[in-house]
Amino acid sequence: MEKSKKIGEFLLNYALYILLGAILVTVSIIKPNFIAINNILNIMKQASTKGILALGCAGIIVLGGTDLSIGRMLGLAAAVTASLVQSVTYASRYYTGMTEQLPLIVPLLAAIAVCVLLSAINGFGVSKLHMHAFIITLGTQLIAYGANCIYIESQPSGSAQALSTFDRNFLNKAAGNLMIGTVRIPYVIIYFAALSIIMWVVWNKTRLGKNMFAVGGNTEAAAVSGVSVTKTIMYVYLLAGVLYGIASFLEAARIQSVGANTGINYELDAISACVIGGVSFTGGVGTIQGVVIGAVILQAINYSLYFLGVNAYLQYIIRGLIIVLAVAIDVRKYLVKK
Amino acid sequence: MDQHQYMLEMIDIDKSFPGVHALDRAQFKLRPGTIHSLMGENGAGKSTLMKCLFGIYKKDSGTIRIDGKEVDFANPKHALDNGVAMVHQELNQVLHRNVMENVWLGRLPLKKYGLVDSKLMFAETMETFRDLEINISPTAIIGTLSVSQRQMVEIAKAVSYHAKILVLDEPTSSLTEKEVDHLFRIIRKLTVQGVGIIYISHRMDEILRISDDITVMRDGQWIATKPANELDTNELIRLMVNRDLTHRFPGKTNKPDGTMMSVSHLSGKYEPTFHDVSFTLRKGEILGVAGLMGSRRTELLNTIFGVFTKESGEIEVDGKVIDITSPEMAKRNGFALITEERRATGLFPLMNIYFNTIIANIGKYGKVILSQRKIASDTQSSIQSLKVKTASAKTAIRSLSGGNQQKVIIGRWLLTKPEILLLDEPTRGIDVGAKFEIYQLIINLANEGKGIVMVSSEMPELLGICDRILVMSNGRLAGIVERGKDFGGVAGEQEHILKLAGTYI
Amino acid sequence: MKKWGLVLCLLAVTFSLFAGGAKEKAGDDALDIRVLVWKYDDTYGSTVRAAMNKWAANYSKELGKEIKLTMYDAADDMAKQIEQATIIVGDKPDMVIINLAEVANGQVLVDMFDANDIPYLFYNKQPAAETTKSVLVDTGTIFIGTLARQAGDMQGQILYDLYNADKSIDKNGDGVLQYIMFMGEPNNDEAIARSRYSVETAKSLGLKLEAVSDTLVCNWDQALAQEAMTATWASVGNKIEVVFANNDMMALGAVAALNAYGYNTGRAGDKEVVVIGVDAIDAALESIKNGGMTATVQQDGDAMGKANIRIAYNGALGKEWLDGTDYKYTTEDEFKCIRIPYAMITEVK
Repeated sequence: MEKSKKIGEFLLNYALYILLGAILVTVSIIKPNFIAINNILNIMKQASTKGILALGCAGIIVLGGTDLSIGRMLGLAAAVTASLVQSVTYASRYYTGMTEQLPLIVPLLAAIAVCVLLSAINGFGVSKLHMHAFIITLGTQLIAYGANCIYIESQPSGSAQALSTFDRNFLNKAAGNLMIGTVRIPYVIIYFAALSIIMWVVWNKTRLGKNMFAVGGNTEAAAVSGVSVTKTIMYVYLLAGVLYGIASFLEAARIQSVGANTGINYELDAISACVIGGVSFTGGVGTIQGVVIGAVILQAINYSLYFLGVNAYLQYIIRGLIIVLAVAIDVRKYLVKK
Repeated sequence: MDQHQYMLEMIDIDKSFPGVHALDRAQFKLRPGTIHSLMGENGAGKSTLMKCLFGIYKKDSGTIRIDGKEVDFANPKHALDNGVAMVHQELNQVLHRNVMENVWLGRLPLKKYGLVDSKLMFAETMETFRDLEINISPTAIIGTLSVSQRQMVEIAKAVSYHAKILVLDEPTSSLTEKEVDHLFRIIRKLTVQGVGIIYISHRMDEILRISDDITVMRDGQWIATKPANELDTNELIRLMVNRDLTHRFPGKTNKPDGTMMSVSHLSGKYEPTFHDVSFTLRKGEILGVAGLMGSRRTELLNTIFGVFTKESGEIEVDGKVIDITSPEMAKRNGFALITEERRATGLFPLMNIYFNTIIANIGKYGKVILSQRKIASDTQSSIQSLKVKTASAKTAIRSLSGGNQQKVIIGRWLLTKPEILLLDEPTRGIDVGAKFEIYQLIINLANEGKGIVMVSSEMPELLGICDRILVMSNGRLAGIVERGKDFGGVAGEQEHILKLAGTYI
Repeated sequence: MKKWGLVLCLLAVTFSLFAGGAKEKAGDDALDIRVLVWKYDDTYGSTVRAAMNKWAANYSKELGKEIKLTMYDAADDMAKQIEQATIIVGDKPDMVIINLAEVANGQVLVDMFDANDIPYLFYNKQPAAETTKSVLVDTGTIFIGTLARQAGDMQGQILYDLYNADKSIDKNGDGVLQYIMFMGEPNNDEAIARSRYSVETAKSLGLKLEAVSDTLVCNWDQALAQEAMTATWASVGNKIEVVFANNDMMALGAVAALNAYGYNTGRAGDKEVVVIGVDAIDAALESIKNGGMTATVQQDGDAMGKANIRIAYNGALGKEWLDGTDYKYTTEDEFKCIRIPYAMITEVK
């Protein structure tokens, strides 16, 4: 009795890891050549940009909110990045006056600035105007999309097409690989890992992190304990903006051309990653480990299905089922049996 | 005495909310090192006055002085920084976080690089807890603690601010007698250090026991401030309600007769729970359930009602064994449950009285379209028969006083025509006048032949209206006290109950 | 309260400014032409929109009558397009150019415009086959499109030419070209035709082809295609010799994925597989130039935009659709139709 209970508890606590393992093992059995470091790296790499987005929006979900504007925000920031990193030898580049490649910090800061600004609007709406995050982020989603279309369509060449042809140095730094022996480790994985660690510290070791959980868990309690609820919410949104900005910069390098519909629906992946990873929509609950593993699981599913060559429509069904399963298992942790 | 005879002076405080003049030139003065109780019925303005002091509300006019210096706190942080701490009536805690984070919320200690110093936090929390003789781990998650433990954490938190002035707004509402004694030892110790305590409570005997001074408020106004030793219960009540209330309990007129329910060897399934409880309930009987916090009285009622899962045991009603697995089923079998936490599990606070009255019985008003006429007439008759004080049935229930809210909820369950009523702390947070009315209501129901099981932490009310008192101890049945037998009067019964409550600890 | 008043004032001013910009009164004799666009953020569609604006200005000068274009974005939502049509009908414009958001729903728009005697034409998305008679034949309208299968045919033709020029694209030398297919959307006529005829045409010309993976449906999207390619390559990469994509964005996604494996980088000595897209968007042309993509098929957005405006001009003046132009009606269609031809692009200087 005691023992079976303990095993049950163990299974519940590590359900996400077990699920991830199960996916990988199943695929490996069906197709043994799946067992390769390369596949793991591919999954990690694809999980990285969306994982960084998820790291940002996880805090917002912990506050009891959500962020529907992520995808379009990324689209706009990626477009700004793209316009600033286009190769100066490319005739129809956005900034024809640009004759020398800018230092990469410029497009990076520009991307961050765009996302921080939009995220600040979200934060202001939630903290000061007391709007529900769902509504205000729906608004900024449209604003960002409109701005992105205008930006892309005001190319001096008169073209309304995707921005492409980037500087080699940018692609190498943002989407290149670190060679260790014969293994190429994509830089984005390293960036994602570093940001995850930073965010883990922020969540667990800083006042902002603890206050964030307090505001998300019980706003009233935070307020009467002297926590500035407005400031906490604002900082969480600004921090999310910084992460979105970094993700936008990296995503531009990954997909190598940025159009008006770049980023569409990315928020769904970011939110799914958080939810799969156990960040509760009711607020106040979540861990960075969970978010990271959530992002990886999501990409592992996508990757495996393509790897196995599963029929496209069946893929949707399987993905849906696994998400439902992951969340259903995870909620059980917080269910109090009576 | 020097010029600072008072450490806190609140003079002519005025505060209005839309439609309500909540404070009307209210007065309050606190001497250093004393316990000053603030009394009044619900809605008298006690909490509002304290929230004005603490910076949660902004006063419209008036003066607040601390040690002779005028202050006006803009927010709770400001108040805390200036030596005023408060234990709130609502347990304002972050349930998913641990004890020490809750205690240090808003002032988390930092070490290098802006990181939170968890070690220091742990050590200081431990020290505070040790001083206060509280035995709770600083790393326990708040949500896993009992309500009384959570209340003790809140008190410890307020104390840990080392405030000069400590406001306790109903700190004992979920504490047992023993824990109350503990709390009183703590606050006496604080007064010795010169801390001024402002104490708000509904428990009359407590107030008279602990206070140095007592201020009574009524309708937002100051009524009187007197030394506690010049007052007694009756005088206090007279001041509070502006009328004589010589009897705290109505006369018992119910006559228990014939078994209607028997519970045998009932155990709950999921820990923490109770085991092997057997008792019977007679028609027209008021059966009290006494016990300390954590004796699993609430779990017992909830398991009978099908909210919690039963492990084993039988419930027999009118000679028939019934197996209740959901509240819906319990309702169909003639049970009604008035829950302990009215705000959390009883009220739909934003909805009006119509909604709150009919919600447990909604099927009665039509399959698809509900009959508004029937709803209106049922609600009106419920309001009238229970004497709910409200301007209209369209009023949102949250704007009613606690007593009237409770009456609406009782009315809600009476509409389901129950035979057995399970009442969990039915008078918690309700003022004296309204309590009397609730007691009368309970006795009237018993007179109609209904069976009533009533959990309460207030010994006087158990002894005041119950026919028998079942005592729980640490999840087990410790005994059943037959009133008026063997124990030589009320005092002996009380002593015996307290002894039983400690049986299995 | 005051603050909100201020905000409202500001909003009102902003709107009037924008409205003023959009509804610039351009003299009573200007032709008021409205364009219903299915979706603004469609790359090829954007090219056509830009071309329409350009040619509206050009023809205004050339034909001596001002053409005023107003465009509407239905954001791939038919309900929205119907709302937009309702508003347009109230304004009684001279002509409406329609790019259907949902090909099966042409009838709704046709009924609205016919009832108000507003002429219209369809372009780009052909009304669904089952509505051909009522929407296209009976109304006498014109459809300006491309031949959906032509893009596929040309992809097949390109592969055939490539193989004949250089047999080494058959890397394993088995005489069979192993390919994978990136498909746009499941129920899209164009996607279906391109997926089908690219392979069929190559086969009919005498090539042997073999699919090494199930069709990858990637919603015309670059990022999705990149992810799909990465995984598929990891699984069966050693077999892939040819990548067909229904559009250039997916082809570019495939190339980005291949780059990560050291393929199609354009650097001397790096290996290559054949990647053929459709649309000839700028990024694709640049990619072909740099050794990424192998070829693309141009869907001539400029020519389509030009035809739209010229023919709409006739329609607005009540003339026969092709009056005074060099366009010819197709012979195989039962309704009035012109098809803008595709072009093969295998080299970019």
